[in-house]
Amino acid sequence: MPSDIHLYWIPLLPLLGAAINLIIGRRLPRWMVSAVACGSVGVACAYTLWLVIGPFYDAWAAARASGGKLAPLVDTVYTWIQAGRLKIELSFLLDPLAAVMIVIVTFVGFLIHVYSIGYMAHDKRLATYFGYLNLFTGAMLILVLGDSLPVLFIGWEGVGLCSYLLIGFWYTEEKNATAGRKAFIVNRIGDFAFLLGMFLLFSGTNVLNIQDLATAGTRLREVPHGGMGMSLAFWSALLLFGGAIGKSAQIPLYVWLPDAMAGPTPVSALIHAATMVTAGVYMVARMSFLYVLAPQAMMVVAGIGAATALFAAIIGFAQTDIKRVLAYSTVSQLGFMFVGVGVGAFSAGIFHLFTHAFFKAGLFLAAGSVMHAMGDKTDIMEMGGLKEKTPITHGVFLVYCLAIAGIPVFSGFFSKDDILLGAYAAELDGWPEWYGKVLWGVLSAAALGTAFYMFRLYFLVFGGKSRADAVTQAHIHESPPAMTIPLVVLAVGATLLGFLGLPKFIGHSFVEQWLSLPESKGAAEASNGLVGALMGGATALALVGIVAAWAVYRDGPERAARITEAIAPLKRLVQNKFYVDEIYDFLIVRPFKWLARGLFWVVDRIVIDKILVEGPAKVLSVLGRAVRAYQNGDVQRYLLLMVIGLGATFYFATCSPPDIVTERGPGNSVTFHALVNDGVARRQTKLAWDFNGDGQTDSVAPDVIFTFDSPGEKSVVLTVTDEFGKVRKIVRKVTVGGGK
Amino acid sequence: MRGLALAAFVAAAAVGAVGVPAVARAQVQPKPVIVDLGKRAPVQCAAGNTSTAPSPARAIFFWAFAILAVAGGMLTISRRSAVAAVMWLVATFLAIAAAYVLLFAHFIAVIQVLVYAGAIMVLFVFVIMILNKEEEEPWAVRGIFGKGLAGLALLYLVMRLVSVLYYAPLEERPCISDQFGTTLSLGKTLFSTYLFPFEAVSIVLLIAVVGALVLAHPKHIHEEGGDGGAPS
Amino acid sequence: MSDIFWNVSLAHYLALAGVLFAIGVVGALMRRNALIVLMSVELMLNAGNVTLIAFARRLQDMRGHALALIVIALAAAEAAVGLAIVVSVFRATRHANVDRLTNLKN
Repeated sequence: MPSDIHLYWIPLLPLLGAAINLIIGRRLPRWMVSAVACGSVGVACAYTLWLVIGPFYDAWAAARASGGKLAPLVDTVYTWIQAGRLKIELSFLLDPLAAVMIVIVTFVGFLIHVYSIGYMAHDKRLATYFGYLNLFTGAMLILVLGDSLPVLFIGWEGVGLCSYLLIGFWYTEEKNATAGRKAFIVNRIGDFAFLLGMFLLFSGTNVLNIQDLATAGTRLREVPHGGMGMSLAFWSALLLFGGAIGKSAQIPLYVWLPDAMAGPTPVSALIHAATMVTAGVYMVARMSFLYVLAPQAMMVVAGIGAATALFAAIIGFAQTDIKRVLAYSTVSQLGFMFVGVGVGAFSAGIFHLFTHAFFKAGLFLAAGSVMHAMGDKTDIMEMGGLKEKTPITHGVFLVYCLAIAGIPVFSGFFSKDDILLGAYAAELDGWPEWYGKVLWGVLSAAALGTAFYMFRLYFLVFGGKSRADAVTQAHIHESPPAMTIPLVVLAVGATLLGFLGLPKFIGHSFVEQWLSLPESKGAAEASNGLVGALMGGATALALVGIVAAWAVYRDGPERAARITEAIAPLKRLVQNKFYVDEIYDFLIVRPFKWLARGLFWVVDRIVIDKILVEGPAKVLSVLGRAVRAYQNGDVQRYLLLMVIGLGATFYFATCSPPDIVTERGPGNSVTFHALVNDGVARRQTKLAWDFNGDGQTDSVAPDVIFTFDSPGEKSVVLTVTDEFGKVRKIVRKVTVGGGK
Repeated sequence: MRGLALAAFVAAAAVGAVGVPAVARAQVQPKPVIVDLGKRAPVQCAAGNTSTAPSPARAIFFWAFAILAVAGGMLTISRRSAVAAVMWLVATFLAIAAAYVLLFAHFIAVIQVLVYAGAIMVLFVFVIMILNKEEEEPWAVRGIFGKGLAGLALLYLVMRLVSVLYYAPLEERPCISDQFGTTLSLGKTLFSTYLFPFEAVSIVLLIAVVGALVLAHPKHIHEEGGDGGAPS
Repeated sequence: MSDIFWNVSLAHYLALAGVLFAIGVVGALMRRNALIVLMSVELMLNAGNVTLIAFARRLQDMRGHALALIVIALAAAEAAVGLAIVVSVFRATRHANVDRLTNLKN
């Protein structure tokens, strides 16, 4: 690789764009705002693609040909924090994993920026929007390129901030602002766990650099650092996963993501589908060396992932808001990814992340296009029949649906199958044998559900006859090219990218070789027959889901309504998302509010206002009343007090008892300093040191270096005779020897 | 009677201020010490240095002027008449100038006479002439307890300083550079290292002059609560 | 005792300065006339100058002289402002008794 590659340009370019748009964007013409935003990301994207496909790929291929391991490209910008054992450099690291991520972030990000030009064309705060979007891109790139956990954390918090800002972008509506706050607060819970994990790792290993952590293996396995007989690796992996749960919207912290759909649709596509929410998965893959040391932690990861995948898919059945369906679908797909990394099939998880970024971003953008056509309506019960009126949107939407449902040839098929295979064949130390099979079963059910609710969405939006009112119907039109071109590009990606990870009986999986992450043993050893059978089963399930959706929803929602009448309570339960928000509200939010109110009254009103703020004032006013007698305006009284103070100062400055300060020197030598009153009187003070206890005066100097014959405890006597002839004796014990 | 005593002291101070430098410079010649104090041999100093070994003349002059200064100070604060007090203060300052000469601070001694005993005291006399009011009760006796305490504190300070006398090493550096205390060396110090404080003091003086003008300007009184003394 | 008389040293000047300073303080504390109080302050400043000059002599360091000169200049400034204040106070109140000037009390 050329040595003059500077990775920091990749995040810096979008950040510069953000700076321009946020600071002077309001005064720039709209086209220039768009040009700066798209240009900065576009250049970053071009640079990234050149870097990854060009020099980085060459280096990777060369390393592979020689059988060695590719040394990651590290670019240190400067030392960020240095304090004691802690040294954190602001440095970026490019390895195959990060390369995949930066390609996704810059490429998908660029397409979404372009799409935003069309989508946000009529928004007043375009510069702010693009500023935030650029800021997000920059933060996300810092996250994926970060060489150490703190640098990763900058990006982690940065994307969280941008997510908050963009969810609440239309903050004039209370609902949107609330959604933003919810996302921020829920993420904060996860971030706290992440920080704790980071602290734990540092306390155990003294490093936070990812490469150094990777080589600190034995120390990570140490048990005493953890608790309850578990290793440091287990607890830190679990805590870091806590951060991932928040960021990637897994049970129990997924509740913020559906609400996050309050933001503009391109934001949902970029942040809440393609990039930011996958940061958790990325982080687990990045720390894969840590997770493989703690199979129990991986069990938790995979378990939570599988549960989330199924749970969110079920909720997706009953949602009527187009973006909410997609949001739950995202939560569910993230669950798939966590199962992937949780069962040790890290590259499968990342592969699914990769393909998902394309088809889910595409789905959101297509949803945006649909909303655009429908005059910003999002209720799918009022849509339908868009097939003819928006042909391009319809076409790409179908492609994305096929991809996410896992129909062969489309990308989602390969990546989802990789995960299913990994789960089925999972053999990790300390795992029960049935655990992988259960995961596989749950995921298969979730995959069936995915196919069903995605095609339910497809048929309700595009199939049948339009259920919208006349005004809306008249308004329906295809979106401008700025929106459709990205859709088509993403659709091409969603179709073809699966071939990067072909199952092994067809060819070799490029993704697996490229990433060279720790591999699941079971999946690698799985026979071709097993792989094929699992593929066939998954395809069959997907087809079943699609056919079921066709059967129920091909003409609109009426048939479904008839069917679900029988199970109305269940339907209500699902429609209301299992009342999770309400349960959280009851269990967590309200007690917190009570606690906050209590704290407000006790701490704020009483402790702070009354005691800390008014208290000193009260004390001072009482004191003031007491000393007012002395402020009688009589200068002579003031002078009098000054003279008394002068006498007291003189007394304390010259009459404090003398003291000895010792300092151990080399060998048996000790330096003694006599602290005698300074000033006029000092010269009249006579000193006499007796170091060896023989009663003889050894020195009369104030500062003496004395070398003892032998080490050990010694008693030193200093006799001080002051100018009045008063004699003071100070005896001090010193320990001799053992000094530096 | 009082005027006579005042005149006598002023005359003595003047004689001292003129005479002492002559005596001090007489020591420049490496003469043997007149009175052997039985403590040490006569001091031989290197070229360019002056012997400052204790001499009876030096001691006599010190005590004379020290007593004059102390007595003058006491009289300053005890005279009922402000004019008499100023005169005694002038005497004190002259005595102190003589002490400066004994300390080889010739330039400072001259400044003391010119600025203090001269200019500043003339200022005082002017103000006294303006006010010209005899006091009925000169002593401020209110709060005598606090003042007693202050007196004790003061006594302690003085006691500490005077007690040093009894334990002082009765030796000085026997030789002193001929350059010490001259206008030249003071100028070198003041205009090199201490240029900035020196200039700062000039600004302070300027501000003081302006402040004094503003304060003493008669207009100021009549416009109390007005616009701060701007001419109308 | 004769030693103390004949051998004039730094300590003698310090004692002289201490006594002068004490006299100045007593004057500033005990007199009612603002003019005499100001004179006492001058006396105290001079006492400080004596110590400066004495130490300069002792340490053979001209910096003490420089400082003493600055003190003299500041004393001049102080006297000018102080006297101006006395004059304006006298104009306002027809007296110059410091113990009656307690306007700051309120």
